[in-house]
Amino acid sequence: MKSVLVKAFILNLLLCASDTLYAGAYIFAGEANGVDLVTHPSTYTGSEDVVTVRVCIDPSSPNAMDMEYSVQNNIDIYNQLAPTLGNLKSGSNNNVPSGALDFESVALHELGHCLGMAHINAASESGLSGNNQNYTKATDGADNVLNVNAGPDGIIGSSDDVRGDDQNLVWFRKSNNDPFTIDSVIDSTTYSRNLADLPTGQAYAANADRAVSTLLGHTKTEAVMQQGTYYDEAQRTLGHDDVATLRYAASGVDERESGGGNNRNANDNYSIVLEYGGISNTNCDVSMSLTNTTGLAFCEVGGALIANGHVRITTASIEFGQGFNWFFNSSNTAPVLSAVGSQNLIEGETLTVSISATDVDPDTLSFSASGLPSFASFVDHSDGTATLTITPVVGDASLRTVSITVSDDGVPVYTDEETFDIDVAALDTDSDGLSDYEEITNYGTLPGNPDTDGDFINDGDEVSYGGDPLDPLSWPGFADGDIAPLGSPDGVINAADYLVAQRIALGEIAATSLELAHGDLYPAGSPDGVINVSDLILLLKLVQP
Amino acid sequence: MDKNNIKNHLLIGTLIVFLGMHSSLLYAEKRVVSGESSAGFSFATETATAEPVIHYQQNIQMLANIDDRPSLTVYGDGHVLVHYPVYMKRAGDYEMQLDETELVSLLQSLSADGVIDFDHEKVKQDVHAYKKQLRARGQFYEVSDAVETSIDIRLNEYQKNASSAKIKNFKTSFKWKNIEQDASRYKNNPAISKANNSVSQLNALMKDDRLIDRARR
Repeated sequence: MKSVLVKAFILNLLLCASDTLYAGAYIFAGEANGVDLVTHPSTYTGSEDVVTVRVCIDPSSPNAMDMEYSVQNNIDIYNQLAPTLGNLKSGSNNNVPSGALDFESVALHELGHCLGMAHINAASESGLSGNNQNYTKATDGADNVLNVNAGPDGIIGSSDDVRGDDQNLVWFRKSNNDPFTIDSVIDSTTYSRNLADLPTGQAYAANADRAVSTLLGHTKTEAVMQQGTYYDEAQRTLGHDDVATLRYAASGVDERESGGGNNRNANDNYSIVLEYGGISNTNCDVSMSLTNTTGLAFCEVGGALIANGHVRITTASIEFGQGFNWFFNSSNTAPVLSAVGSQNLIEGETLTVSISATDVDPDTLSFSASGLPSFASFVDHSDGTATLTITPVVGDASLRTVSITVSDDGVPVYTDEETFDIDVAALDTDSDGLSDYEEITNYGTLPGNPDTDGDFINDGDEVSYGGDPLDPLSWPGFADGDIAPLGSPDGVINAADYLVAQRIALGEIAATSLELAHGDLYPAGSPDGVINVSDLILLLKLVQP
Repeated sequence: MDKNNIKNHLLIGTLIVFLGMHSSLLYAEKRVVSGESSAGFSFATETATAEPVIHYQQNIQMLANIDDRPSLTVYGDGHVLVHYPVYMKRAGDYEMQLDETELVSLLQSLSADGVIDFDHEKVKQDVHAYKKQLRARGQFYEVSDAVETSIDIRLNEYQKNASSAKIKNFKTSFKWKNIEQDASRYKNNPAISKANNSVSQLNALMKDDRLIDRARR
C-alpha cells in the first residue's frame, strides 16, 4: 500500500512540476491533466531515434479495401511532414462529390489525434458553440469561464483576441505568432505556450484557422488539427502548425533539438515513421474501421506518462460512422497546366508571366522549368501558381524554347507540360536599323544616335550599303538620284531631284554625304565623288520616264 | 331572472368548473399510472400543434457550422419523423407511426434507463473521479471529436415512481458527449450504461423498417 502511495505521489509530482515546459495542443493537455503535457506517438519511450507507428485497417471493417488508398496517402503525408499552404479544396477544386464527406481528409485529422495531437481550436470539447469554437484552444482559467472576445480585428482565433485569464494551450512561433509559417528549428527555443513570449503588442496565440490565414495574407489554409470539416471539402495535406506540433514533440523529452545542459541530451530526439500494416489486426499501433457508431469519426486514445510533462500514446483506434456518405478517394488524376503560349518581348523589357495549374484531386502541385535562358527566372509559389519573369538585356536577343512542367504528389505522380518559345527581339533605340548590341559591340556607333558620323546617312544604311558609319566622308553608293527634298530624300525620283542636283552642280549649295550618296551617278558603278554635269545628264534620264 | 334562467346559469357554471378541473377532457390525453418502481406520466395524443414528446438529436461536432443534424421526433399521437442530413447515406426525411403501446413502452424505458432523471453532475463527477484515478497511475484516456447526444422530453405530467412527486408540464433534456464510448469505457457506471441503452433504442428507431421516405409519398 505504501509503495502505491509513493508511486502516486511521484506521478503527481511529475504532472505538476512542469511549469517550465512549453508544450502545445497535445491531446491529453488540459486543466485536469496539466497544461504542459506533450504527447508522443506510441513506441516512444524517450530514447528512440525513429518512432515507427504501424497503421492498419481492421479486417472486419466494411469498405476496408476502399479505405486503403486514402490510408496510404495519409501515411505518405505524415512521413513527408511537409507544411503546405492552400490545403483547403472545395467545390470544383476537389474530386469529392456533392454532399459527400472526404474519408481521406477526415482520416488525416483523426490520425493526427492518434499521433498525440489535439485540436488547435477550442472545438466541441470547450462547450462553446458555433464560430466561438474557433477560438484558440485554452483552459477556462480561474474564473471557470472561457472568455471570448475577437479583439479589434473581429477575427476569432487571431493574435489580438482578448481572452481574460484563459490559459493558452497552443504553442506558437515566438518570432511572429504566425501559425502558417514554420521555423527551421522547432523546440522550446523557438516555440512557446507562454503568452509572455508573444511578439510585442500581441495578445494571444493565433491558431491556424482558415479565417486567420486570410487575415494574415496567406492563401486559404487551415491546420488539419482544426476541428471542423465540411462536406464537399478536401484537406489532404498538413499545415505548418501540424508539422510544427509533431516536430516539437520529436524534439524529445528535453524539448530541445540540439540537446543542452542540465543532463539533457540530443539522444531523445526522434523522427516519426508511419508504416502501412495493411488490412490486418496484427501488430497495429493504430487501427481504423467503419463501425455503426453514430459519430462521424473519432480517435480513442490511451496514454502513459514517460517523463516529466511527457506522455506517449499506448492505445489508439479510429472509428468512422458507416452511416455517413463517405467518399473514398481511389485514384489519381493528372493536373492541368493552363495555356502559356509564346512570349515575345524586346531587349530591356521585363515580362512577367503568371503560370497556374489545377487538379481535381486536392494534391499539392509543384512546377519546374527547363531550357530557361539566363535572363529568365522561375518561382514556384507552392499554391498551384508560379511566375516566370523574363528580363533580357541588350545582347540577349534570341529565340529560346522552354518547357514548364507541373507535377502532383498523388500516387502515381502525374504531370502536365507545355513547351513554348521565348522570342526576344533586338533593341534598336535610335531606329537606325542596327541593334543597340550591334552598334556597341560590332560597329562602335552610338545606339542613341542614328547618324553617328553626322553625314546625314543613318548608320544602318551605311553598314548595309558599304559606307562607314563612323566616317562622315564615307558614304554608301546608292546612286539612285533621290536627293530632294534637300536633307531628307522622299524616295521618289522627279524634277525636284534634278533641280537640287543642278544647284549643286552650279555651286549654289554644297553637297553633303547624303546628296553625294544618292546623286553621284557618274561614272556608273564607280562614282567620282562630285555632282556635276555628267551626273545631271544621267539624272535627267532617270527623271524622264 | 326567472327560475329557468337561474337553472341554466347554474348548469353552465357547473360545466365550466368541471371542465376546468378535468381539462384533459378538452383534448385526448394518454395517462399512465406510476407503480412502485415504474414511472407514471401523461401526454397529449392530439398533437397537430403540440410540441413533440421526444426529440432526439445527434450533434456531430466534427462538422463545422453545419446545423443540419440527424434527428428523431416523436409526437404524442405516435407520429415519428426522422431526418438524415445531406451528408448521410440515408439523406432525407422519413416518417412512420408508433401505436400507443409502443410510445408508452418507449417512454417507460427512457425513464427506467434513467435518461429522464439523469443526474448530469453526479455522473460527470463519477467520470472525473475515474480519470483522476487513472491519472494517479500515470495513465490517460481521451476520445476526439465528440458526438453530443441530445434527448428532450416533454410530458404533461411525470412521476418517477409512486412515491415521487408528480411534476406538471414536465420538460427535461439529456445531453451527453460520447455516450457510446463512455458506456464501453465505464462499464461499472450503471447510469451511463443504462442511458446508452436508451440511446441505442432511439438509434434503432431511426432505422426502423417501417420508416417511409416522405419524398416518395
